[in-house]
Amino acid sequence: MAKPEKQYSGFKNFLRTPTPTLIGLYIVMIIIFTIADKNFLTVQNFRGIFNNFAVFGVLASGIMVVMLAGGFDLSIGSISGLVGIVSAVLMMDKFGVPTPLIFVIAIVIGCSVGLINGLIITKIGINPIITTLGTLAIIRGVCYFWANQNPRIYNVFIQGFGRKFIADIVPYTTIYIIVFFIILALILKFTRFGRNLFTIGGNETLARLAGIPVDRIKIITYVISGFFCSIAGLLLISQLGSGRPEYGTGAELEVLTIVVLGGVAVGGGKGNFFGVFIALLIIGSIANGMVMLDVPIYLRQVVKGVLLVLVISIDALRNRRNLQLY
Amino acid sequence: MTDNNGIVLKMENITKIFPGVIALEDVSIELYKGEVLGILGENGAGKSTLIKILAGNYIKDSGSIYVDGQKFEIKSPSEAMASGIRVIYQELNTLNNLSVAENIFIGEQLVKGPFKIVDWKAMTKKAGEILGSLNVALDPNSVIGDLSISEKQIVEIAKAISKDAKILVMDEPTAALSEEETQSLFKIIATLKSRGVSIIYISHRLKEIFQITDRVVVLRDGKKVESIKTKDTNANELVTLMVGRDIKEMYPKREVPIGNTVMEVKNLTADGFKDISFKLKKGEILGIFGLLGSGRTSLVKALFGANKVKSGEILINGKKVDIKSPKMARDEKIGLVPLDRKVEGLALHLGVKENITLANIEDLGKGFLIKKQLENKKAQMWIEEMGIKTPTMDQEVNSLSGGNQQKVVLAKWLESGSKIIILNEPTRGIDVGAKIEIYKLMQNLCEKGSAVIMISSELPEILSIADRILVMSKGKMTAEYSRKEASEENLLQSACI
Amino acid sequence: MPEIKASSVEPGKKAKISNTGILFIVLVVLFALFSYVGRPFFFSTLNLVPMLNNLSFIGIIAAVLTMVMVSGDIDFSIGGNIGLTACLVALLLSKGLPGWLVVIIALCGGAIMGAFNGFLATVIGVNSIIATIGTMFIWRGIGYTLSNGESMLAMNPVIDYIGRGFLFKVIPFPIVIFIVVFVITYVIMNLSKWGRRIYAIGTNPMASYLSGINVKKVKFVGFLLCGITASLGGLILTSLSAVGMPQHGQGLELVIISGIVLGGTALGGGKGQILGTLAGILILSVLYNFLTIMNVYYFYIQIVQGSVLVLVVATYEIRQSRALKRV
Repeated sequence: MAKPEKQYSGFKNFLRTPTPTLIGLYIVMIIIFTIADKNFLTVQNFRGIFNNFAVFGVLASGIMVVMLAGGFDLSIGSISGLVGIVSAVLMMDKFGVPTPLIFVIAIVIGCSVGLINGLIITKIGINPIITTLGTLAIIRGVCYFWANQNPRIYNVFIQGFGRKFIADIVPYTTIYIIVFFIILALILKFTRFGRNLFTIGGNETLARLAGIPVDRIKIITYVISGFFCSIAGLLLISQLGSGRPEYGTGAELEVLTIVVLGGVAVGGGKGNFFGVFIALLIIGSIANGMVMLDVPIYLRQVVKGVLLVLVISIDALRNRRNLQLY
Repeated sequence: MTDNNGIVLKMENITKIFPGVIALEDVSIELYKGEVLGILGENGAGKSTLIKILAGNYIKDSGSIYVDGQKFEIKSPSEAMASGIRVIYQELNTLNNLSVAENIFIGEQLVKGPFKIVDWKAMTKKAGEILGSLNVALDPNSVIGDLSISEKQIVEIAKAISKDAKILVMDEPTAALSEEETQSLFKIIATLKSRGVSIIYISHRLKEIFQITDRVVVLRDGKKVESIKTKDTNANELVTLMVGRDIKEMYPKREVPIGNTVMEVKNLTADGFKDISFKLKKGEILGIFGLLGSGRTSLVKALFGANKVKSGEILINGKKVDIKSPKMARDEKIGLVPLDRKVEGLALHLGVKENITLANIEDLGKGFLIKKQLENKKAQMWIEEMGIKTPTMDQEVNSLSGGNQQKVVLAKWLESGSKIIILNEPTRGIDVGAKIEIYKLMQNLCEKGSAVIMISSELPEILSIADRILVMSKGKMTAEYSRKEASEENLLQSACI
Repeated sequence: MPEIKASSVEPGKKAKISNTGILFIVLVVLFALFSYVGRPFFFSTLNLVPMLNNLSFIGIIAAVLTMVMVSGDIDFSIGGNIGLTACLVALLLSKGLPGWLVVIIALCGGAIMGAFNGFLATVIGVNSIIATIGTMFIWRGIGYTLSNGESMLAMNPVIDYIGRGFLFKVIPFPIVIFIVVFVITYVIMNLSKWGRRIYAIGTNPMASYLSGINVKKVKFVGFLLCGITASLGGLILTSLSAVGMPQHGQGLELVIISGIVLGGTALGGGKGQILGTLAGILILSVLYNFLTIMNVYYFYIQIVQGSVLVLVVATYEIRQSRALKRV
């Protein structure tokens, strides 16, 4: 077992993931978009793409952890909406909550809702999609408690949180995403928790037989997802300048598209952050391209839906199990 | 602590009941330090249940377990592992998209430093060492999905010995191994034994039992029938103990006149096997023998239209047929009694009646609707004909015993008029009495002009029941024996080519 | 007679009242309670007639979706289908197409949507929950594109009759459709060979496949019928409201699926009864109608709907795991 063989093996494993295909696809896309519109390949435009997709990138970090362990979370859009409106209301003059405390409260809200999701899913044993579909509706309903408040964001720190740039080129949000992705990638690779996610997602029975605390780990993944919803919620109100109860609606579908396109298997056990990052760029550029090409807004929704269906179909074909015989 | 006459494990009066069947009744075993204890029994005798209880995978209904003299309630796999019990399961438990090294250390990755960083280098190195001690040249970095079944089994063994185990349970570890690999496994067992590890070794290959074990416990129908020193017994005695009656009575063989060829397979190739040819004759029971991974189940599925045929042809009554789905196989009057009846054979939560008519719903009435009286009549007829023991025909099949469930599967195919019946391990998980009934039923079918293909890994069974035996190894047909020529030795030899 | 009784595993307890029976009792009690609390409006023709009309299009979709769910799949795209159908109908009417032709086109549209879902779930092999969440998004997006996000008037004698007409001058036409669909689905599920296959597939798809049942075909047809029925529901809703708008049917999947599960259908398939679905849907319709007439804010009703879904499924799962533990 000589050393070069090892490296070859690692590279071979990388080639097996969909990531190389995604990179190729993205290069082709860049070429086509650049030919179609010479403004595409500009710093200005990419600055926009990155900033517009910050929220989705942050949410993708969380849902990816959940999905690796074979779970699912459709409530992410609602949770970030809830965090957004509550934080915005608390920042209003009549409450005047200090900024650090806003962050604490936001994170506590997100993590608590994630904890509830996780408890329902593991302790009662309900299908995670159904559970989070239910909590999606519940949380969105709760957001409307503050429907009449319409708070605007005057807090300078929060304003800058999702809108500032380094040297007027690199958005802060891009830094966040890269940092999150790197930290999570390291956790996945170098901690027992991270490795156990792959085991649970690959074969839950096996994980239980190996003595892995499956339920506890799954609950933690939903809490992590909740945490990233909190960050996303704060980014939402920062970028949009106010708190509204409908913020984040439908985000779950877009994030799902990104994550699955990035190579995270719907059943769990497979996925890497590099692939998700490329997928984020691809979906971001498509959205950006549609704006540049003046595609009508409602048609863009259709395109997004088609993309999702396309992506999950590819996933199904790629991860076809034996039972798919019939 | 060691003051219990060297007994490391004592399982006392263990009972486990599943719906419709008592899997274990009042079974007690002791395991001494540094001993290899063989557990012997036919399919369904309760071996797997016993070790699943020990592993914390099942919870016993009654009885007690002592480890090192301490009473120990095993409630989960992690508890069992924490007290030094390791199990190599029969089903392969590897994760296909992870590396060999990682599979070996699942759930207990090697870590270093105060932050418990996963130490990949150390894992690769240690995995290499363990594999080296097993005498196999496997790259710890290769992906499990690329390995053969026997290599996967070796990874399973490596996994179990990766941490210091006090009690190591091996459930048919050689099911997919060649003779050489088996011998290196035995060397490992000897080494572990000398280190004071106690081993429970489950197999139904008598040769291995005599080669490796110190003592044998024989189970039959969920009860312990004997515990005996290996050197004080012989093969005949053990078989008689396992079966519980005279061999002739156990395997009632009637000579049935063999007729014309009803099915001919020519150079059939599909996923899992290559270039298989054979003929099946009317009135014949054709046995197919092979190790785990030899391609026998793939072959059966291909004959039944559930595994896509790549080349070659199948002729039924001299006519070439193209079977693309189980539906088409059924229409050609082929029936399949599958390997795992609960997953592949029965709709467990439907009634006996619904399951009997499952493969022939079309004939339950003329038009769109089901004619109830007709269905009841058919179900009643098969329940009587096959001797299915059930309170009513509406009883959920889930609550029947294994033997009766198997009869329901068989009845399903007879109801659909099958003339060629393929049975994959037909006596798996059913008691001795029911086995004899199944053998008799198979022969009744032959007498009535059907033909039977029986896949079995149970040597005494296939040697006594089959008229002719084909042996498969690594996806190829390696030998064909008549009943007279076949013996335990030459079957195993051909299966390891 | 596929009697799929979750509770009948213990033969000790004999012939106690069935789960569906309990649901109908709950329904009567709720109805009486609401009639009292919500008096006098709740129990008046002014409320009951629209309630029944609403029930009709929710109910027919629930009945057919029960077939899909018993076979082990699910269709979340029904709400999107309704929205698209409504916009399509209004658009075609505004182009001057005759009413009968619009109805046919709408139903064909439903068939295409259903067939597409079926294609994804069977041929491609996508998990049907996720696939239909995706198509829900597509259908509604197309609805928005067709109508440009606005509501369009949809008046035409044929269309009007579907939702607001009366058979023999007394029976509201939607109720007729409702009864016909329930009778048909009941016959299919409980008396027919097709229904037997659906139950078998839901109980064990692998064993069904290996018994010569064409699993893909049965599942595909389920999705197809579900698509057609959802667009029929869309037609009724469009007729009732006299407008076609893309928001029609939004969130309906929550109500319908909760109702089906409340009626005893298992999410994993194999178990479920049409009569149970009828009871479940009636209970939820009465409940949500009551909340609406009590002037509960729409978004709070949404909280209730989400909670009901989680609660109903949770109850089912807990009972299920208890039954397993008893074994």
